[in-house]
Amino acid sequence: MSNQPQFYQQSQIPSTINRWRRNFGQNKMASAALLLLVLIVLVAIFAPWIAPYDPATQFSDLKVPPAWYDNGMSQYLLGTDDLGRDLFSRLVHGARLSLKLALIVVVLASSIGMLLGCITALSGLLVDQLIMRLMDLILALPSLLLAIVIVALIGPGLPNAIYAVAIVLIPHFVLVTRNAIKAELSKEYVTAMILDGANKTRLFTRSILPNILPALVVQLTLAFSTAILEIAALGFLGLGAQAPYPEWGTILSESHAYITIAPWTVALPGLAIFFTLLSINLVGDGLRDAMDLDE
Amino acid sequence: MLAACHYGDGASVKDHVLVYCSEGSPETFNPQLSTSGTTFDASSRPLYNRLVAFKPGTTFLQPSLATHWEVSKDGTEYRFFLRKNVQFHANDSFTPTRPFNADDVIFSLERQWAKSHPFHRVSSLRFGYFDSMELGNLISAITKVDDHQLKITLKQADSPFLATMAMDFTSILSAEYADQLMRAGTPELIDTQPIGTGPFQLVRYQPDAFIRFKAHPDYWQGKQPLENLVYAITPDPSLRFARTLAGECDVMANPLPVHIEVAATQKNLDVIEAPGLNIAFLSMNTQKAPFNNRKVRIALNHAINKSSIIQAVYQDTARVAKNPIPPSMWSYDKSVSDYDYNPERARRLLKEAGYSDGFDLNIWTMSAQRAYNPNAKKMAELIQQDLRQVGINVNISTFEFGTFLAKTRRGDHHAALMGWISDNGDPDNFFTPLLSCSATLSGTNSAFWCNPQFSHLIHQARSTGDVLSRQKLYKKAQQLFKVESPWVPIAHSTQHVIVNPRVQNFTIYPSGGVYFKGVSLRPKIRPVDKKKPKKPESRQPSPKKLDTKRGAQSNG
Amino acid sequence: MARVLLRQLLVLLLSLVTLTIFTFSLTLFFPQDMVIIAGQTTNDFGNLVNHYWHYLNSILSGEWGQSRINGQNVLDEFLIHIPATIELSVMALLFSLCLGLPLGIIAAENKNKWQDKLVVSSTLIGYSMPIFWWGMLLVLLFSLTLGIAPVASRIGFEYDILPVTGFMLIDTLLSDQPYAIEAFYNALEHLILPTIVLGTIPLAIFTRVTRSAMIEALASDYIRTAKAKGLSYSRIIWLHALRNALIPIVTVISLQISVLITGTLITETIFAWPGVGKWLLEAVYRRDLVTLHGGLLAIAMIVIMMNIMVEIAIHFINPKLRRRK
Repeated sequence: MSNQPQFYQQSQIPSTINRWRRNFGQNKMASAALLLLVLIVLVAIFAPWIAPYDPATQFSDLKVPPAWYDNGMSQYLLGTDDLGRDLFSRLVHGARLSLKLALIVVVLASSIGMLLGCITALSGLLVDQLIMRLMDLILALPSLLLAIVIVALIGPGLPNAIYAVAIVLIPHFVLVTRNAIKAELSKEYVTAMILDGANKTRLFTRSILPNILPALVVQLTLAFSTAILEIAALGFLGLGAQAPYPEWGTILSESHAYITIAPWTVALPGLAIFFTLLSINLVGDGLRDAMDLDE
Repeated sequence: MLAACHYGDGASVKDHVLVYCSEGSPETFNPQLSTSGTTFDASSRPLYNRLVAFKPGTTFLQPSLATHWEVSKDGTEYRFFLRKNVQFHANDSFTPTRPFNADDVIFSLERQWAKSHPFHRVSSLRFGYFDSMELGNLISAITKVDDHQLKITLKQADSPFLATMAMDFTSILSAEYADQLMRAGTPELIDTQPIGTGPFQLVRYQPDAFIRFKAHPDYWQGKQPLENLVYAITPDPSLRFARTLAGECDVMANPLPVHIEVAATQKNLDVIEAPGLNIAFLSMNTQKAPFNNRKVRIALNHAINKSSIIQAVYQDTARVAKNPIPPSMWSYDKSVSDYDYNPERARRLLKEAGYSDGFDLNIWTMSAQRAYNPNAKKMAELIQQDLRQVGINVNISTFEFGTFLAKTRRGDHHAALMGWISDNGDPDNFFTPLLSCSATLSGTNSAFWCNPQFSHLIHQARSTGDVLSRQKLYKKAQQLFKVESPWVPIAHSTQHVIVNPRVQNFTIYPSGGVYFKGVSLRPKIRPVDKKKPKKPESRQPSPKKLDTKRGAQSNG
Repeated sequence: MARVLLRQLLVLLLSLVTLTIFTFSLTLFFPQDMVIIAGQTTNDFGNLVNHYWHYLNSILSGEWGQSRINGQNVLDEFLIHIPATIELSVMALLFSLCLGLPLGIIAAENKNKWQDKLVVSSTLIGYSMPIFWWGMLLVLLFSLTLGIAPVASRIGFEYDILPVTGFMLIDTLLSDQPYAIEAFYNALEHLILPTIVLGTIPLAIFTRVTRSAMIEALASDYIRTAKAKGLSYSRIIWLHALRNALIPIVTVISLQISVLITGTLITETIFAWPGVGKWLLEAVYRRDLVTLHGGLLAIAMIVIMMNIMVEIAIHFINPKLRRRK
């Protein structure tokens, strides 16, 4: 394909996916971010093999700085915290935990959200308005506020934090799905196909679904980054993963007290969250540009 | 206002204000209604006086609102002679028309004592200390002799009584103010808009934010050099420390060990330390096997490595404990020899007692941080490790503070990590509530250890007024305690306060608490005059002298 | 015009009613605590409408229950805490607008050149920054290490300022203390770091939106025609382009209100700012559901009202909508 000279392009129109892939590849920042993201995912998957120690083991070497400092120790690459736990192992397991949690949240929110979105888009006015009013309301509420109210109702801790964040994210999926479907439905080719007598289900799966895919994919990446951030925020506030889970936000809430004497225990987990979010956002941006979507 | 001329002359506002970072909001401004140190720091200590007071930095008593006192031969009659010309505070709604007199003392005590007193049920809070120290059962009569003389008759002799009269809950309120409020129909204001005789008076209180005090212009010991005092209420310990580090607070109490570490390296912070009147110990329930066997109890004493606990849990801010009272308490017996860390000997003792295979043990801890124990859970984990070496299998259970107290009082535990902070600086305050036979009924004797000989010794010491004989009796008691060992005494934690070098004359009281009487601020130093880095040692020589001092308790 | 207002008012009413139904359904989870507001619930769904009516009456009459923190009326507590939050949020909004708009314009003006790339990467960084970490870093650097910014709170403790309006900047100026002006500057100092922390994400968003809106406006036909005709990048063109770009910017402002409130929860924690965020978090830690309910209701009402106001504002600005009868 790439060997074809330019002026014969019309005989080889690249498929949509390939076109997207090529657009994305031309975006250097996004490609680099994708690599970083893949790296983070790999670290998360292989965490038990990568981490030299168990994240909860307390050694007697307390508050050791990272290995490249003068008084660092080589066996603790990123140093230890106030209870003598190896920071590198904690961060690596934290990656696994954060990504796993975010994945669960996004799968939950997207499946429920997209289902609801389809239902409202294809239903009559009353059902549509009812659900949309409710979604509008939840969307109007600040996400973290709603999350902490839910946590207050059902109690702090890991599983509840997942439910809380998932509930907060559902309306976004509902909105995007519904709007995208409605936009497609109003297009002329759909009207034409219906007049032609096309089977409604096949219409939906063959034509509409693929066309709303870009919007959904972008929403998924957005939701992923929001999920990681919200879970970390809840952890930081003490409402999410509880100690000694090595969730990055929880680690920050514990190391906050030692900011002046062990600043690496604050800087490094924060950097982990930052780079993860940055790479997801860059990839999301790149996808949006590649798929030629309006904001 | 009167401060206007002050600030006009270019002096910084901060030079006239001392900011204290406190760890919480007071429950009330009336110390009668609380048992919490935080409440006392905000009420009894700045706003009120009591009949007697502790000499700063010691557990010895000195006159305060009572200039002197006489005790009858049989120890049941106390005659207090009251100070003249002591003025109460004046605020927007109240101006005192007379100085302090016996009526005020009678009002303050009777309010807590007499159920029929009009002010007895004014507040929804209880008179915590009055009830738990059982003053109601001890006092038989309070009689006014004249405006400046008062007689208190007890049902039986009780030598700690005088020390009890220095406790926060015996603070003297204004009877005149109480009358005025009662007539206005707002008696509850006596607890929320306080009037006392203390060195400072309340200006404004914003809950969870700050408390503002100003110097009492007519204070009987002279107006305080400190013009304005602000308590910045900051429950989060790391924020408290950050504020102190940045100079926004001048004094910070109850620092965590990590803060002490950092403060020691800072030029602009001083760390003051003094031994605390407290103890942390492992209490063994002697009513449950195998702790009914003395050999087992002594075995545990040998099995636990106390110095590593001091290092890991307290980060060296504590001393190893061997007696039930701390070294800074008079009558402490230095000559008692502690059981050394000796796992071999522990195993041998267990074998002799018939437990060569060890046994299972459940240790209870509480989740809250206390002044005598910054991390009970960590301590339990270290003990768990130690006891495993001698074949004892430990399981740790953690409870919330209130639940923990309730359950241990019932004796549900096998062994528990307990502690105690002195209420009144008298040795009896450790022995009776923690180790007497009668305390097994109320449950405060968590080892449920009733030794008639021991109980007799401390009961005698309590009833006699003679300090020397009390000392002898307590010594015998400590020796007996060591032989029977219902506890493993672990540590006495040192009290630390972090202060800004511009604060002068700040003293730590062994009984705990934050006092600002006599404290002043040094005006701003120019950069040229900056002090050299300070070593993290104690700045107060007198508290350290306490372990050797066995002076007579002032009795008049 | 009146039609627009009327329509928006209707939407407002509908949204508020939906809100109360939503919060009422939340109270069904913990009937004991909400007795004061909702009346005795009997788990009998037939009575649901009655209960809702009782609930609505309580809310409208200001009886929002008692806070478990200090026993005061929840609505009163909210009103005491909200000025601090409003002051901070307004400062953060101003900060993000005053910086975001110029930055977005510069980026649009220099599209694809280094200024643009710098701005775009900065916004991405600002957008991906977890603000609790960002706040900690700023405090570590500026307060604890350099000592040039205060650590927390709205004003130094040495200043005794009476809370007349609840807005510290105003109250210091109203104060009759001799150090009033000094206190005013001190309050400003205390606002700096929290404003930066809270305003970072809105700043990133405004910059992006301004940039894309300006790019689109600059690429529009009539601007290109004006340029072709020979008008330089004069201020007149800029003003035209800006006016068109304003619409999406104003739309985004209403979204930022939610972002600000979320951010306020975290910022007030870090800086011990005595606003609604800190108050609500206290309530969560103590499981004070009555306070949480009140806070949620109040904040949601404010957000809905602000959204409606922005909608109305858009109608004024957007000539296309304005002319529609």
